[in-house]
Amino acid sequence: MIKAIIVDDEPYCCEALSILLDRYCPQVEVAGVYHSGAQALEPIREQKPQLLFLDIEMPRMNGFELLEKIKSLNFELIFTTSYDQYAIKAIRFSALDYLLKPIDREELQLSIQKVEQRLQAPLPQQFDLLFQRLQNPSSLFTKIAIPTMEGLQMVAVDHIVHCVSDSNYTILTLKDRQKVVASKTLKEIEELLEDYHFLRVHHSNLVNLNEVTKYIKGEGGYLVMSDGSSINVSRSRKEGLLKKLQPNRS
Amino acid sequence: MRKFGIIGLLLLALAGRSWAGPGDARQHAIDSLLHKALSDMRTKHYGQVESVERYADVALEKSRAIGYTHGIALALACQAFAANMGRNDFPEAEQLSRESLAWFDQTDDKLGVTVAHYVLGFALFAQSHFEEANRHYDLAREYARKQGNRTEELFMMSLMGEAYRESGDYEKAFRILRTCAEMAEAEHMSVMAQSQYLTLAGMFVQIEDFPDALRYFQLGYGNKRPEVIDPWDLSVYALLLTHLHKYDSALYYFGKFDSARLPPTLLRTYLASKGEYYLFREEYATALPYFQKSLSYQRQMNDNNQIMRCLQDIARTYYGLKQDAAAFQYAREGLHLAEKSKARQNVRDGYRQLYLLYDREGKTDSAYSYYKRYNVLKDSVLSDWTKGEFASFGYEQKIKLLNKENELQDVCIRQEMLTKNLLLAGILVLLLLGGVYIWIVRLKRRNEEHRRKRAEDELEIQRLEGERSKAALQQRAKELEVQALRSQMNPHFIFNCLNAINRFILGHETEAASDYLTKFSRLMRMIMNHSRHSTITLAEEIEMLQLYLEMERLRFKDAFDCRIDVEEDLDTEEVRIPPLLIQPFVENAVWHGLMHKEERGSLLIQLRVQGDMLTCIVRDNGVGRKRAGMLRSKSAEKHKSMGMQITAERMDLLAGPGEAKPFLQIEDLYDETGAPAGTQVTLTIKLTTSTGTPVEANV
Repeated sequence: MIKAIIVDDEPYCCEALSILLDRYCPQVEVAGVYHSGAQALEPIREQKPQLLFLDIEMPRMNGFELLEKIKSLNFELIFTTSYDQYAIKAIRFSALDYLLKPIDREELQLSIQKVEQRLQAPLPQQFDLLFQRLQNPSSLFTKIAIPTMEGLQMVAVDHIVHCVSDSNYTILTLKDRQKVVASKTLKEIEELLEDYHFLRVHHSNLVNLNEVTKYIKGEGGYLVMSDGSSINVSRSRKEGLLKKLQPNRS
Repeated sequence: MRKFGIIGLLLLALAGRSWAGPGDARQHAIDSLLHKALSDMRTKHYGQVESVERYADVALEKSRAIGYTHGIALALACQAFAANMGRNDFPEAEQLSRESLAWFDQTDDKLGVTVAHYVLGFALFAQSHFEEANRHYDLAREYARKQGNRTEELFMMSLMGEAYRESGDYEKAFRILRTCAEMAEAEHMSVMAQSQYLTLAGMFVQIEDFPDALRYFQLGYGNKRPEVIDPWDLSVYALLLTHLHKYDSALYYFGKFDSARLPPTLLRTYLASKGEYYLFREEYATALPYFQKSLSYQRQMNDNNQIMRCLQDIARTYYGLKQDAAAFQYAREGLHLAEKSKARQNVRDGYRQLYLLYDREGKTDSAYSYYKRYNVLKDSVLSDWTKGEFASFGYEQKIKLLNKENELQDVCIRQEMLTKNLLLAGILVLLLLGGVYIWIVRLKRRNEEHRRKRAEDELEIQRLEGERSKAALQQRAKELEVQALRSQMNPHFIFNCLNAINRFILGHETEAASDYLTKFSRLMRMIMNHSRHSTITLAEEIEMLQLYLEMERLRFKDAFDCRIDVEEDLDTEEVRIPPLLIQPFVENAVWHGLMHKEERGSLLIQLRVQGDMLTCIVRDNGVGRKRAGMLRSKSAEKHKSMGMQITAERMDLLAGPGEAKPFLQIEDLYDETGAPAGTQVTLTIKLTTSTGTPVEANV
């Protein structure tokens, strides 16, 4: 049995989640339901749940504030939220799990499955990433949590030279020539990095524009990166790339 | 009144109809008489209309004898035409053509009714009854259009344009003449089109926009030399040159007139223009005889509009000669005529002349009184001028844009051609010169691209400028903005409602789910409906607020009380306010005041009317702004403060410039101990009594 606590300011949301868990995830046992961060703080410390469902937007003490106080405890975490692009971005950046309300049954089951497989707390670095990103969303030195086959790898955004798609995986090449195989599609990676200096130059290539050393002309041409590798540019994306590379070109 | 003399040339391509109408042989005889009259109308001009009149007289007599209604109607119209063109007896022409129209009313055979409308219009125009003249021109145009007679239709349009011009409505004149010219160009009727350009040129001379006048003259003359064109236009052209200080050229063109051989119709305008040339050069003694001769011809022709012009010119000349008594006499007569015909620019000039005269005589009171009147009119005439100029400006802008676009296309096509040629040439050249040639070609291509890019940029700039020049667009933008702002419904609220509904469904509480869902739909529908109107009744706003509050209360299981307190004698069905103005403040009170409170909260909405102002107080006993600010989560803050800010901006927008702005005041409340005890928002909104005008909404 997985012992879970639900924190959400909306009574109806708590009830809906309880019902879903009861019906479709019998391996989860709801040990408590609380309607604000302040209310939930003590019970969480006492009961030490294995799984926490945490709403973000709550009066008095919101989800992030509560998390900051209890992050040293060992628990699995699933955020629940209706509509908050800003928070969702930060959560994805730190590779934490979240569910959108109203909660989809199958998505919930999938999340619980993942919890069962690992049943270990998120890494402290993931929380660090989350708070860092929340406080300073555009910092260049930010790290990103990349899910891999083995687990998670924290990668500094400015260390990524380029990313190449390989069906459902993406191969990241870092400055030190290290390669990271991410269990995410290139599109997902692109979305995560869209606020930084990255550009999709080809159906299967995403590059860090700061690491481009040369552009060689051709039908689409290709890029030579700082690590010496060459990256194909597709004809349709050539124009956009040139614009980025020469912003002042008239 | 350029068209005065050349009517017969253009009008009445009536012959198309086979004249074998219904009826007996006698009717046929009459028809053929009238047919002759009409075809003479087309071929004879410059007042040689005796034959028309003879045919019409006989036809009328015979028609009356056998009671042939259509014959009577058309014969009368022909007589009216003769009265107009032959004798310049406009009152008689008016009377005859009205009679003709009355007969036309009694028959279904409308053939020739255009003639009657046109003649009546012209008679009215010559007597300076512009509005009514245009009504009849328009009817004539409509008939012509139905019959598919393009020549007549365009001709009527050009007459309408001229009437607008003469009445001082330059904007309308510009529009209609321009349209007419375009239609003529499309039909390859170049003479007709040029005639419109020349009329426009005359108009721009009149409103002293000389560069535009010159442009339209050039359009009108086409490749021809000015002197081969209609003498009337030539005299206006010479006058334009005078105003542009090209005296030699002006005199050269004036010299092209052989005054001995000109018919009076044209002589009078030549004389007036040449007089104005001398007047402009302040050679008053020389100018005077020209005007006087012209005036006597004008009087013969009964042309009210030109008579006014001459009278005023003479008054100015006498003023220049310091013969004030004579100047007074002519100025007064001119003004009298102008006032009668409501030709504003002439009235204005009359006032000015009289003010100058009185001033010189030292009669300051009278002078002042005319000066005042002159000033008032001056502005209104000026605004019409600018309107005319504006119309022209906007038009030119459009043309320029189109030209640019064509240019762009040309460049593109050329580029394509170039590429094709290159392919062919490339094969040959590869053998000979190889790489060198390709290098040159590349260079060329880049040049083309540069050029295209420049053209594109220019196009964009011009488009922007064109937009900027249109105040109407700004108005529309304002409307749009208001609409956009209204569509701001807090997404958190929507999702919260959906979450609650989902919970009821999961719990198999179908009744509750259905209740909640219907309430939610009702609220959504209300918001959508309201956002389509610029104002709604207070009752509707209250209903919406109640529903909104009910949903918020349901969501938090009655965590707070609320009350809407409406002043007793306030008729909420009568009072109208802009929609969705109060809701954001109520939402704010619930989310930031009451939600943070541990105990049960309460919310009070008070509505009072004082004069034409509605005061709305939203008071909560929540945690107060300060604590709410501390407790607020960072992400939520964004939306909420945006909601309030948008509403504040909207309130500013809703009040037009110069109007009292709605008033917004936010106070912190404290209890006896000085601890925060909630927030109070006071909104003061100006009431509108008129019913809400719906704005277009894309819901």
